[in-house]
Amino acid sequence: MKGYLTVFRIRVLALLQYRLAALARLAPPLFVGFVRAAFFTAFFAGAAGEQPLTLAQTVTYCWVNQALVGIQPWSGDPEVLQIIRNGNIAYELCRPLDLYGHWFSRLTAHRLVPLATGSIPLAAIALFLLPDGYRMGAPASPASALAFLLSLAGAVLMSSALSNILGIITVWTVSGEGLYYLAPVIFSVLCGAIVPLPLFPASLQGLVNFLPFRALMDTPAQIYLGLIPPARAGLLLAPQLLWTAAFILIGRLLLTRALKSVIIQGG
Amino acid sequence: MNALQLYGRYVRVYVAGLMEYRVSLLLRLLSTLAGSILECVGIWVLFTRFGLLGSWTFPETLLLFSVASMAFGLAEWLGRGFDKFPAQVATGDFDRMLLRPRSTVLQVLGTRFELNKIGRVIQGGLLAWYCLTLLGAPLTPARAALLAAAVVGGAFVYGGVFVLFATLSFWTIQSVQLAYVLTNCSLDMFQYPVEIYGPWVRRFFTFVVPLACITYYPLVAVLGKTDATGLPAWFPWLAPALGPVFFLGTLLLWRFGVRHYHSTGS
Repeated sequence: MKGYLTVFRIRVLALLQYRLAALARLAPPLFVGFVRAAFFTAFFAGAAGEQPLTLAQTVTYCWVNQALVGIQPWSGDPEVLQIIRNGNIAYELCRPLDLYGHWFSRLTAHRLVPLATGSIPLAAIALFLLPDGYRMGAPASPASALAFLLSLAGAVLMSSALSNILGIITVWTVSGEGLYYLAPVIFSVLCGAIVPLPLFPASLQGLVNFLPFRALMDTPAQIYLGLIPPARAGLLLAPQLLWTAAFILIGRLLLTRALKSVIIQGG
Repeated sequence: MNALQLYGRYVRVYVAGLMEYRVSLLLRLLSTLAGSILECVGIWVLFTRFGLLGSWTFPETLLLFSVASMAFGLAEWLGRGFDKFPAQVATGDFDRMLLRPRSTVLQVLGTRFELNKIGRVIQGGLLAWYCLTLLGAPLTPARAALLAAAVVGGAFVYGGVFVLFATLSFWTIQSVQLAYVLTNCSLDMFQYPVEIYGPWVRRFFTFVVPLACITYYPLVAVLGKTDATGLPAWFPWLAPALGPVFFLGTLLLWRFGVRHYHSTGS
């Protein structure tokens, strides 16, 4: 365990070296959050009848989304891709650490650092500094806030597990690469990053709520808003953890199979 | 060999390289296409929920999206060399380009040629055609020309943004995320009519970085809608021309940057 913690710590220190870059990284989510708030205001202005979310809730939902963009499984670990291509995977195999655990710790660091240097400042700006109509609302209750943090931890773990799978499948260059590019696009729709899941048509609600990907973004956002009461949050966290366990298992199996056929590049 | 022939040769070398990984190219093309389609699904979900966006209907908004998408696809396909340029400053590879007796713009353009982005252009074209038939808007030659000018002008604006941020990389490498705001994130913004944003945002994207000039204004004229931002009626017809103007401006900045370039060397 100590080994994995060290890998995690080294990664955190390395990522913290670029603080200014972290600040610049706030620009895109702030911009997108603003744009979303503006077009939802326009959409709601012309809406007939009651909607599943109020405008204020939708704006807050979008800000929670933007704050969590940095932890999503948009890609595999870029360095893992590189070592598979340049043959340095041989060194990784020499280490007295389980490879899956090693990569998983790195990926968790890759999520927690953006969470600290990106999400928290972004949420602070969205909560306190923005003008009315664009501002993010506070969590529904202290209990909701606590449940939100728990679901956030679950989201980080699931995202690391999915991201690890993305990295591992690139060993199969051809079929792996297709999935590598396609999967994140699909995740982004199914986790509510494009359109909040509660605003989906009723016919699609069953599907998006059944699939595990909502745990990456939608579940934390709905818990934050109190749409899922804190008492019910536990019921959602359990399947979230089960799915994560399943993704870890799939990742491990894939890695075992990949290592059987891996060819070390270079000479 | 003139500049065009040289560029042709760059392209041929790049494409030959891509063809070595044919399946990979095809898969990336498909994922670009799928990503673009899923964005449309997002717009569709919002319109089934809300019906209208101001005075804009679903097919009208989709047409906005397709024009912005084609313009961005064109710029990504041909101009990505500038987008990836900061890496060349960081490694010092740009020094080698300066030694060659050819224009730096041509050489940087020649470093990349993202064939898979054709997916975005084709999908945008099909979508635009579909929206136009759905809307039944009479496409007179003048309107068709305006639409084409919007796409080409838009490619110039996005290309200009790439050049602008490549130029900034002579001084700082921290600007990459800001470029992302004006490219990928702005695509999110301009798939909706610009009239819904505040007046300052609108002016900035009309007269400084003229992205609204290649989506909103031409479509106001093509679809015969009323311009909610209060600019004169002739403006939409001239708006796409601001694209090349912006691009030329960024090229001047680029030349200024190259003259003040200090190698990172070793």
